[in-house]
Amino acid sequence: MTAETPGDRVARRTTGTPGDRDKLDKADAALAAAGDAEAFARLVARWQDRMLGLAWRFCRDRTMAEDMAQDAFVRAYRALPRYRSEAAFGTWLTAIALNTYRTALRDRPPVPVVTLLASHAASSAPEQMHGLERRQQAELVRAQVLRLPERYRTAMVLYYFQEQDIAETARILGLLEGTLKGRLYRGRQLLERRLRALGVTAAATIGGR
Amino acid sequence: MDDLDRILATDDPLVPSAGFANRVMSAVRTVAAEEPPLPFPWGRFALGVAACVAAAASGAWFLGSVDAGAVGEELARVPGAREALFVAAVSVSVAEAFRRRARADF
Repeated sequence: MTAETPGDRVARRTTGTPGDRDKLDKADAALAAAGDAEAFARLVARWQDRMLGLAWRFCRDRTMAEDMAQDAFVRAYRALPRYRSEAAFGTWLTAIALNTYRTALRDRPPVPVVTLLASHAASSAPEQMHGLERRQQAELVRAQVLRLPERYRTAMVLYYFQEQDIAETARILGLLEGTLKGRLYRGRQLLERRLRALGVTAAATIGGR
Repeated sequence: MDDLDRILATDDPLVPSAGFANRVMSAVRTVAAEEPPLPFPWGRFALGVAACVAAAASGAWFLGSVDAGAVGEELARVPGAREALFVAAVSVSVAEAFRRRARADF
C-alpha cells in the first residue's frame, strides 16, 4: 500500500472540475430526495472512498469504519429533503459524517498504540527495520492524535483530511477560521508534548522542526 | 511542511470491501421503505388550545359575575349542606394524607 492523500482520492473519484462534480452531486441529491434510489447509489459510489477514509482516520478499525460510513450515508439519505443547495454537497455530507462518527465514538476506548512485533523485527533486514520503525512511529503519532481531547482531535483529523484547507474545515465544523486555527495550534502543542513524553522527540517524526 | 504534517496528511487508503456500496444501498432502501413518522396533529392541538382558552375565559367571566356572599347564604338554606361540606372536607384531607404516604413509600 502506498501513501495517498485525500486529494488523490478526490481526483480519482470523478473527472472534471470540483464545480462540475458538485453540480453532478447536487443534481443527484435532488433526484434522490424525490425518491430516486439510483441517484443516491451514484452518490454513494462517488463518495464512499471519502466517507470511509474519514471514518478510518477517526477509528483505525476497518469494520467499525464501514459501519460508521454506512450509518452516515443512511443519515444523509434521511436528511436529503432538508439539504439546501447553497452549500457544496461535499461540505454538507462531510458535516453529517463527522457528527455520525463523533456520536459513534463517544464512549469508545482510545485506539491502542501499535507495537512492532518482535518476530517481525528479528527476521527483518536493517533497511526493512528502518521502514517498519517509521511506519510504527507514524501509527503512534496518529494514535496519539486520536487520544487528544475531542475538540482538538476533530479539528486536527478533519484539517489534515481536507488537505489543510482551513476555510473548508471551518465550514464543515461550523467554526470561525480564527477559532479553528486556535484549536489546531493548541492541539498540536499538546500532541507534541505527549510525543516528547513518549520519547518520540529525537526521531524524525517531530525532530525536523 | 514538517514531518508531523506529512504523517498526519498522508495515510494508507482504505479501499471499501466488496459489497460495501450494496450494503449501504440495502440499508437505505430499508429506511426508504419504512412508514414515515406520524406528523404532529397540529389541527387537533389548535382545537384543544382554543377549547382551553374558551373554558378559561368563560370561567373568569363566571367567577367575576358571581356574588360569593349570596352563594354562601343560599347554601346555608339547603338542609344538610353544612354536614355534606364537612364530610367532603374530611374525605379530601384523608385522601391527601394517603397520597402523601403512598409517595413517601414509593
